[in-house]
Amino acid sequence: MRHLTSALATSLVLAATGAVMIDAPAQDPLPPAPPPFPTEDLPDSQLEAALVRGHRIGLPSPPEFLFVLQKVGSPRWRQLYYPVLRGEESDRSKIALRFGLSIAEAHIATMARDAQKIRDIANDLQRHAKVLGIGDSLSDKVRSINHLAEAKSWAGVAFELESLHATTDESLKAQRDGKLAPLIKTGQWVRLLHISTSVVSEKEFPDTSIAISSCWTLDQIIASTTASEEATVVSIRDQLSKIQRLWSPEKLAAGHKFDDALIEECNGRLGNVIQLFAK
Amino acid sequence: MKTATHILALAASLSLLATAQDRAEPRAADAAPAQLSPEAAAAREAGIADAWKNALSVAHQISASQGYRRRDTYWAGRLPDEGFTIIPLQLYADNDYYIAIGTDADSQAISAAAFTPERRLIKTAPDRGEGKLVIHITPEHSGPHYLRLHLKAKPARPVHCAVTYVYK
Repeated sequence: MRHLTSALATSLVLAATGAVMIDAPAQDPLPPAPPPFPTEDLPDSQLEAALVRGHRIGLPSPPEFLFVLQKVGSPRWRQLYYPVLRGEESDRSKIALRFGLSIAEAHIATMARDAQKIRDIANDLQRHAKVLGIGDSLSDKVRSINHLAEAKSWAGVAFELESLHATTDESLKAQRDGKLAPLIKTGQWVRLLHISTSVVSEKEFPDTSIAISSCWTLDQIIASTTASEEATVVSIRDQLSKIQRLWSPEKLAAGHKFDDALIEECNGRLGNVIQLFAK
Repeated sequence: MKTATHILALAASLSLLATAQDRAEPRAADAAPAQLSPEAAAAREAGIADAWKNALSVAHQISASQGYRRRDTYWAGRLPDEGFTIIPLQLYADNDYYIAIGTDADSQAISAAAFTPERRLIKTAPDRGEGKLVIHITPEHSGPHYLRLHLKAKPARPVHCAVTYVYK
């Protein structure tokens, strides 16, 4: 019976195939349609030759990163505020680092939907900007951030904070302070990773590597410190390099577990780095 | 009080719109060749501005209709006549993305493909409109993804592109 069914099925298939062959033209078959997308993976040689390096678009946006932490970890953002850092007003590198930290704090206050905190941080930003000599070029942006926070337009605040960072970068470069511009990125991202390591250590995350965003992000932050050889910046770079070794892609590929102890170690190191912004 | 809040919100939205319009003519992210004549430099600026306008319009459209957030940063520059431009994008597994690509040329002339952090092709054909392409990505893993752009044939005139993305 099984043989009979099998033979019947085979003849049906053959009949169907035959019908198709009869209907199809015997010659000049249509060329196959080109695939709607390429079918190859990205070769190393192409990546090496054509990768756009050092561009801001390669770093995640802070709101995008915090948004992921919010989705998975639902942190209590207000409990994560960092106390205001005071330090020498004459050391412009440290002020650039603290400026970056303040932008990160403003992003956290945006997640907390805390207009009062944003107002306070806006004052800090104005004060730092004046010392850096870019107070005038940032004042409109800072005012706009305050207005958006008053109106509870949180997506607008997040967008404007990102834009503030870009404007600061351009203003510093325009006044030949290009070496300070990357330090704002450093200050901002050290604080954001400090936050993410705190959040990930408290909640069950399916992928704990989100604590440092990614090895790629960490590489970019370390690269932002290479323009300066000042003692503070060198110490920051050393600390970040130690964290980089803990989270190397090789360890990730080998299935290394990034457990609570490791995340807490990173959190402690990042906390130490932040202290360097004030000392 | 409620009226005052509405006025503030309206002012804030207008301010945000104004900011977005300010950024409609970006400076090129890739360095302009030093030997460009003033005319060629002006044509380049205009090409990049057109490309950015197209990228921005599609990003705004998706943001407004589907509630995605647009990030402020963009890449803009000229595509090489031969060879590739590969733009890294750090994307997260728990987010959903639309990559908006604007150009000052026919969008059919441009090939766009996205790759995972492991450099595997993401099998999503871009949607095309006049001067714009959009790629939808839902990352499986967090990490640097790659957007590869190239021209299908040698163009008669320089082709410029601008890239940004929205997320939810």
